[in-house]
Amino acid sequence: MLTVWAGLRKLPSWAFPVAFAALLLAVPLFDVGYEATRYIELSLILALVVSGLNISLGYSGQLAIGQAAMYAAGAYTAGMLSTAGHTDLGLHIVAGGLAALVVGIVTGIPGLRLGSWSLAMTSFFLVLLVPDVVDIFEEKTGGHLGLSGMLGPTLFGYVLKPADMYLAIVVVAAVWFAVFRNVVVSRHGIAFQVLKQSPVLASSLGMSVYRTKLTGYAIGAVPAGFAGALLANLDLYLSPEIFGFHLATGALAASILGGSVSIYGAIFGAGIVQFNNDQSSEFAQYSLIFFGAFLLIGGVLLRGGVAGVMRNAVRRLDRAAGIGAAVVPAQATDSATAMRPISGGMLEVGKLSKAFGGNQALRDVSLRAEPGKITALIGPNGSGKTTLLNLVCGFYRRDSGSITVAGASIATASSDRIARLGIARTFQTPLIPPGITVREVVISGRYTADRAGFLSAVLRSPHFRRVRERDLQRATEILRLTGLIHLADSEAVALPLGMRRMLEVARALIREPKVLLLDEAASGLDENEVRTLASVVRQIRDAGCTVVLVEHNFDLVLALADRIVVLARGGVLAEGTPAEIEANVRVRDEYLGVVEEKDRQVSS
Amino acid sequence: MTLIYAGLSLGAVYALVAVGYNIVFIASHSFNFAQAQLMMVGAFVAYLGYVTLKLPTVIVIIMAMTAVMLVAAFEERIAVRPVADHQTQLITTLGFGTVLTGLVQVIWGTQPLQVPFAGGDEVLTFLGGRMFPDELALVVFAVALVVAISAYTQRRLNGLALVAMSQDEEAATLRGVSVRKLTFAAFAVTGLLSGVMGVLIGPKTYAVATLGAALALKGFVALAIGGFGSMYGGLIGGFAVGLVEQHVARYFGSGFSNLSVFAILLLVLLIRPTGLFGRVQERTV
Amino acid sequence: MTAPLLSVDGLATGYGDLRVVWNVSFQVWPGRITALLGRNGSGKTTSLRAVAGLNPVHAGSIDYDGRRLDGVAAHKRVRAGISYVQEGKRVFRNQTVEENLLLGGYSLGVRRSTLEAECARIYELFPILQEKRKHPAGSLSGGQQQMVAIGQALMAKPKLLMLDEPSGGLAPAIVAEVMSRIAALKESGLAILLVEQAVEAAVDVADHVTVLDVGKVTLNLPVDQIDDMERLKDVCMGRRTDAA
Repeated sequence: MLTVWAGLRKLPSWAFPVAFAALLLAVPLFDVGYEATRYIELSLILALVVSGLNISLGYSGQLAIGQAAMYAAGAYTAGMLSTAGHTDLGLHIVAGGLAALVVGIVTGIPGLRLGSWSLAMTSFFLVLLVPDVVDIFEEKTGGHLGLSGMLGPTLFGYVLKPADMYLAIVVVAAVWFAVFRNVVVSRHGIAFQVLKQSPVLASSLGMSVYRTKLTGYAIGAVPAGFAGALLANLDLYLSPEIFGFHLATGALAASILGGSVSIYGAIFGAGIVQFNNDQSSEFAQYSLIFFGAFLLIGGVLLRGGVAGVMRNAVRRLDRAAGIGAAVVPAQATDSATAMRPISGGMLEVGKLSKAFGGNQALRDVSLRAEPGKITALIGPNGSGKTTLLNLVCGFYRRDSGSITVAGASIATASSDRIARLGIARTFQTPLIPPGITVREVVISGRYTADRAGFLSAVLRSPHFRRVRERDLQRATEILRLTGLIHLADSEAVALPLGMRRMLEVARALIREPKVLLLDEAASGLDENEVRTLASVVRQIRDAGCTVVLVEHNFDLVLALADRIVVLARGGVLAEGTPAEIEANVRVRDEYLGVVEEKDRQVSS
Repeated sequence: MTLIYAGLSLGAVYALVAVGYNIVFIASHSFNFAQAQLMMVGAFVAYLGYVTLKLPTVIVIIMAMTAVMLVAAFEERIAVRPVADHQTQLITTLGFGTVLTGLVQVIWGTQPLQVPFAGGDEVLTFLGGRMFPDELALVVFAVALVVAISAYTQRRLNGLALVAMSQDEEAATLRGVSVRKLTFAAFAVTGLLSGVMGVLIGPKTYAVATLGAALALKGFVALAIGGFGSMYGGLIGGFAVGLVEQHVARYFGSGFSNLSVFAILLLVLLIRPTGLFGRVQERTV
Repeated sequence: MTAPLLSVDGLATGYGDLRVVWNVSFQVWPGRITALLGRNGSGKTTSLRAVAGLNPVHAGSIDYDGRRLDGVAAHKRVRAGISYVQEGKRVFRNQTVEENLLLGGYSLGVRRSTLEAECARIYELFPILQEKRKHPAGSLSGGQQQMVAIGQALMAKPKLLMLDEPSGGLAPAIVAEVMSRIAALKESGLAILLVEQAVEAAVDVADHVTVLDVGKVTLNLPVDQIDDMERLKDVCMGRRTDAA
């Protein structure tokens, strides 16, 4: 049993979907009858709609649930083209996809700016509007009576028979799912998941949050348009009723049930929901109850949908069959791998001020961090360390003052642009997207440093392959350096805190940043982990990077820093070498909140 | 004037949905997608009470309140409490609402059912406009409810606790507030009120299974205009949506009424995302 | 010495899998002030949160008033007499001073009118709050907000009062005033746990001092055994471990 499994697992992962597509293409040879063929056709069309939901909802985390409206846009575009005499199916599909894309973008722009409920509601509202819009353009669309009088589809002049239509649907679905897979199983898929986890993380990796969101949402609209064009040509009749809430909730239920963060889960979910729809009318009246129950169960119990259950089963079988996951003992950092030289850039902050309401968080703070040096920033709670960090990263806007990196001003740049200019950071609480491996997390750090567009990902172009090659090679180097190489294929979120912190350093490092900001990288680590971290940070410095360390652990700061800047009450209290700072009585008193002499006389 | 009355009474329906959203939002910061469906259930229970069982009004109202309260309490237990993040709650509450719609269809079918109004159906004339008694009752009820809830949140300790919880859940816990219990109570009370709302909106909207989706969206627009968490904002937002919808339908045709509301939604979200009465949230990193 | 009201023994706690406190023990006695000292990130606040029931106990025990607190929900601990004033003056900013105080008495489960009478006690302690009772708490100055927060905690008639950095962000003169009020509170038999970064101000009022560093206790002494403040400050900075 397990040897069979081991044999199956040796096949490349794309072999199974290809085999499934071939099976579907062969179905007409077996004369399965009209009902079965139609079931497959409708399921695949629905699966296209659902796959769009998976991209926007599952992968990019945008609660866009109005896929039914984009489906309608595609269908009516094809329908109107057909009644106007243009019957080419290829044209219909392209036009349908474009129409859906336009509807998606126009309505997505306001909702995406706000996200969450607003997007859910604006996109759901679209579904409500379908019959109204259809009615307004009654002359072209047939209004609520439906659009009839469509001509049969052709392809390059060849008239498509019903059997050809079946093949066309299978082919379009197969091609789309290949495209879908290629996007998701690429750096872009990881980028979507980074964004879903945290927009702050995404922009600190140099991604434009809004553009990435809009891209995800727009790509999700396209297959719904394809599906619409196919449906129009299959039935040669359209009615606004097809595209109502029943469809919208059905598609959502299929997505949740199959697993939103999955590729082929869409086909499974659509198959179930379509099966539900096809039942005799007596049963069909229960369909809403089923859809609702799917949503409830999917949301509450089956976190990753059926695809999630399958993934777990595969993992369990793998373990039983002894595939992969050979336990390599944890090793310290591999000092044999030398770090590549990094061309650091001087970070200079001049007379920086920032107030929140009446609270002056920073007042005329000036400091510089030099390449090849570790500059530590310390100070009691509320002294302005975090504010300074957020100003440098572009999450806050300064009130006055200057910030430059290697001489270039970044004081007014957006956070993603600052990241692209060479500032990398780690977070107090590590931000690691769920469901991706350690290697993928590290690679996500290179997303904007070494670009490969969506189209090249879809086509797996030579350029894409070269970038991919570099991604993997650099990731391996960095993972060796940080001592994480033995965990490269483990799920990153599941790692203990110490390793997640180190992983954040690795992700920041892979971009060879000019400036590396470490935000309390040692907090919560045990002594061994702190030692490992310190040695990695020293190597990064020796490679030439400008390292800024924001840290509470005084011992670590004294041991590691070349220069220390002490902040207190929004200003620079002292600056100097570790020895100077250690000897400075004012620093200690400020840290411990000791009341100054003259103040004490007033109060007592 | 008649047109304005029609707009106000329709707006009152939306305002009631917004009030339901708001109570749950204040208590738990989550969004109950099934709110409109709760009211729909209320309307059907009213139909059952009045038409099928021919019961007196008081009994019908009590019946609707009890039934919908139980449904809402059940919802909190299975669709809200087990789900930690608000995003997933949106999906599970949508699922719950869909189940309700489906059940209602199975029991009562898809045809709209007329729910009688206890105050009769003689047309009232007032300031040169005409209005049905149930429409007047809707407007009065919506205004009174919002005033009553606002007073409650200022006068009663539990009301104060509810507002405190919406500002800082942890600090409220440290004052001895059981956040879980209060959230559950908020759902139950919302259900109770939705029962009454159902009885009142039934005569105007009819009891029909498709009521949920349309009301959910218009109620949301009312909320977006007024601002999340603001009771008076929701009321004004509701009236605004109702008035716009009626006027557009009258002057441009009914095909444009939903579109106009959608346009308002987009405008509000673009220009003032926090609504007219919502607080501007500071960005936190 | 009487038996401690609160006894924390070998506590380990943190946030999720982030462990901040590894092994912390301290006691608080009725009518006395225990000061919990240490630099940023040493685990003071996290220990307090564990006592209040906001953070899970990974190991060790918390005994209060003769019973283990494990598994007691945070809001029930308030009813049992544990009042916690969080750092950063966390008052309900949109509600008035009076509403804030009334909420402080929420755990008593009595009528609003009874609580309104109770407020008089707080106004006696902090007269400025009576003047400002109809103002939103968020509009008050930092020191006044701290008074609201403390007043709110006192409304619950606690046996144990935990104060997290009451001096934080306050001008020195106000620190002294707040501290003297805190010192006066213990006269009624209240047990007070005071977390402070301001070492001298805390030692001035405390009866007992416990110093934490990196989630462990480095010093635990009655205040009268401390004779060298400079050495104590060094211990608080983690530069040395012996103070006496």
